[in-house]
Amino acid sequence: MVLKIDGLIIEYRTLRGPLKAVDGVSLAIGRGEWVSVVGESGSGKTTLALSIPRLLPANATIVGGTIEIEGVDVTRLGEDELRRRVRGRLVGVVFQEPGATLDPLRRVGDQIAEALMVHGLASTKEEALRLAGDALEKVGVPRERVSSYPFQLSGGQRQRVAIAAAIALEPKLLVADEPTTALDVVVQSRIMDLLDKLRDDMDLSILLVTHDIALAAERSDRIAVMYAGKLAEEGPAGEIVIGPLHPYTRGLLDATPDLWGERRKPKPIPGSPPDLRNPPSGCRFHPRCPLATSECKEREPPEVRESSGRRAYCFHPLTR
Amino acid sequence: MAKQAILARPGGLMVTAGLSIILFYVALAVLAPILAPYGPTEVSVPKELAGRPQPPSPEHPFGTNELGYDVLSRIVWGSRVVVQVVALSAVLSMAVGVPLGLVSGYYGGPVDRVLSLVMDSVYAFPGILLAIAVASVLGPSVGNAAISLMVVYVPTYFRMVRARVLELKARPLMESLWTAGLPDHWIILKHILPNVAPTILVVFGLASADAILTEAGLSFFGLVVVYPEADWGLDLYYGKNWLLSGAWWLTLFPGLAITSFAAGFALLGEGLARMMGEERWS
Amino acid sequence: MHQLLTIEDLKVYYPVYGSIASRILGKPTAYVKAVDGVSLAIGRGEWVSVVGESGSGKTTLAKAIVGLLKPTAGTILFDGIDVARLSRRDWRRRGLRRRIQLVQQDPLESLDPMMPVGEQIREALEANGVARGGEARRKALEALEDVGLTPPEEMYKRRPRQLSGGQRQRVAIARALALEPDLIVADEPVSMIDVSLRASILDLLDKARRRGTSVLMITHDIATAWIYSDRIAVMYLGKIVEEGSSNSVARDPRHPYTAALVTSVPSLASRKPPKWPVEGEVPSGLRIPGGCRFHPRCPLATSECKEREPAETVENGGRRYRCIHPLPPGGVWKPPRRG
Repeated sequence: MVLKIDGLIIEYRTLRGPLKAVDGVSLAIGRGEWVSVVGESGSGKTTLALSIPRLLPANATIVGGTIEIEGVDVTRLGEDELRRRVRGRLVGVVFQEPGATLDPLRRVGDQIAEALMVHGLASTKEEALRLAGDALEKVGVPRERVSSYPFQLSGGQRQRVAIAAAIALEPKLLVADEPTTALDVVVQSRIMDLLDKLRDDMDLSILLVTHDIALAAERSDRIAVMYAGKLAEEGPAGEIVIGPLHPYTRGLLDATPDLWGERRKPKPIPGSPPDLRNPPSGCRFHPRCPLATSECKEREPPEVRESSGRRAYCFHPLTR
Repeated sequence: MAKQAILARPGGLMVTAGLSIILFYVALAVLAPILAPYGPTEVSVPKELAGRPQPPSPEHPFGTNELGYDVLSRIVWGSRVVVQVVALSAVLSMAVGVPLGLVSGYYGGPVDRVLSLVMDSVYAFPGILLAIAVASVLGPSVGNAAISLMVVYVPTYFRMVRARVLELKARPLMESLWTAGLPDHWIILKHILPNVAPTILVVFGLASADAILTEAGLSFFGLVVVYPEADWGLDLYYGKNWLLSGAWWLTLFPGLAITSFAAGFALLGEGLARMMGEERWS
Repeated sequence: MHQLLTIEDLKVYYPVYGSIASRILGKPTAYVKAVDGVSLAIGRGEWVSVVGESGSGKTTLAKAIVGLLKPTAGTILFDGIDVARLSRRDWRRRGLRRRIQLVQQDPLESLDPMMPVGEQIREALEANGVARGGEARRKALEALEDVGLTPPEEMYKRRPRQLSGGQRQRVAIARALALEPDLIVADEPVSMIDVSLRASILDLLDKARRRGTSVLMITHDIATAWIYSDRIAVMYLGKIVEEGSSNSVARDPRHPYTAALVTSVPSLASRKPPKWPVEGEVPSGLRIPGGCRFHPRCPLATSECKEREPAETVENGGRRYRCIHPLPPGGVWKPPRRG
């Protein structure tokens, strides 16, 4: 396993009290595997993703669980070691806005080259710039672009450059947090093609965070569905979208319009996502769940496992 | 979130400290007849000691001046002048600056250009010089001092309010209000003004802090009240003559009163600004 | 059919001042042609969606229709009145503000954070002369209840921040519907809303449409447009490149750009057409390519496409498109080879 998250709990201190954004999540990703974490706002998907390179905001604390990357538990490492061994080296990160990665005032080649030199992968500036050019070519950007500034690039190209920067040190895992939400759907499709190609070329593992279950289903091997800080269900992408076990996954699928499916009005899930400062008792989905019973209000749902490695957390899992 | 303990919020401590200082001086001004140990021009030392300032003692914790007036009592009585001038000038500056800023920012066009030009020219003058110039023409009185300060601070309110209105105008909110069919005067009064109000409060704090110092400057030159009436700036002026003779208490205490009162407003303004900065993100 | 709204050859150009001198002299160095000759009609009780990506000019089009922008040229006939030429005051005086309502993308930005949401509905009712005083308050409460914000008395007093994102958008729609408009222009009404709640918001608009209100939805999401609208117009760089019934445009497009769009949308279906290989991005409105504006990205482009701007082809049944090499029926399933 490239990534093994076990029983992870992350708490935020906020002005209006503490909240658990991630509450007991376990997830593993194998070499060359693409796993998508799907959820709505407040599901904890971004917190989960950013905890892997330990890039959480200052008011967040990992209060329990472990995150092992290639056998290294990153929850135990200090800032210095994270910078030296983890970020860029083991895990590359791509954010929704490429501006989060790219400095607007410096040439993109210099930015990538600097990282290569700091980590000792290039000894001279010339060599580093040559490798930066290689990285750009890998993501489909002409190597002459090393001397461009971010503002001279289009939105899609900037995101490609951000991806180049994330993979320049040849990490084992790429964490991509909604990398195409700000882009047009045609461009999104090309960026997803690129991630797929990088996975094949570099044997890269990918963790994609997205709110779009259809996008996740089209592109990934496995899908993890999160709701209110907890894992609702996880398993092979094809199986989950054809026969979800968790009523929330079913609801999400029914709420998503599908251009090449049946022309029917999407069905909303009643109610709205809970306030995590004051989450519902028992199963967190029970106030919105059509199948909820008194049991769901009182106790945490059990894990339901299937032979294929699928699992769901529900008292009343759906059958196919 | 509004119900949350004020101290726990960013800037909360500053606001609380600032407000306490301001309320302290306001209370001093209102309750001067009760609080002041002596009258402002009461000779409070035995005849043989008059003629020379007397250092702080148990009966006169801030000392006395050469006329035998108690410095502490004069600071208490003097607070009445500062509080009146600053309060009056703040009300006047707001009454002129805020409506002009709202109208100028909202409607734009030639009126906005002319108003901005005028306000910017006034703003470019050093405040104290401008205040002295106006006050010298009008003559010394509390009301005239307030008017001089108003001339100085109207542009501050105008500029801040106008800038905030322009910022609001660029937001989708304004498109939504226009397409909802609301008349302009309604939009200005019911939507823009409430949204600009927090900014006005911040400007009130910071401009008043500055106004206290300017007021002290005016009274230093005798442009607010006439000696022997109690007034911090005036006491500073007469006290400075005794500095070389070692009578430090004649300048230190009025000076401290001026700066601490100004600091109160500065803390209020700065604290409110921080609080609102936080509000936008929560 | 008697059309409620008829847009004809509408142009909205934004001036660009490339130098300080040009700004001082008030002489633009160039224009961004955000909307560049758009014609579109909407019937009563019809739902038309304008679909496009960023930079297509779809939001500019919406703003021109609701009178937030003065068009450079062209007409916007609303029930026989050319609203493109009206002043802001005329919009109010003629009662058009009530009849054309706007629903914006982000309700947190479009509602006043300082005012109780019920009051925001009430003031709109009063300003447009729909109701006054206690009557207006009662109508505002009704409007809140109609969009599912219950108990209405409690919701009336809340400020936007005390509501969830979905509830806020309901308020924005409640305000629009309370005025009983003839046309609702909805600019990306659900793009900021959680997936699980989107349908409930769109259903509110659909309910209004069934009562006879026309809906013009601006969206980047052709799948949602396909489900809810009667007709779809696809915009690219300021022009409508294809327009027709929702099903025909979204499932059997004639224009290669539409084909790229509909095949790029992620889908869970087991049978779906292969993705069209369209490279690059929408160019800037400052540098619109000559000829067909899609030719630099089009996999079917020939030299002809560079040279002349395609005329509009109108099929039987009203579908129209601008393309020199349109796809045959079912052509979306056979994308050209890449390269």
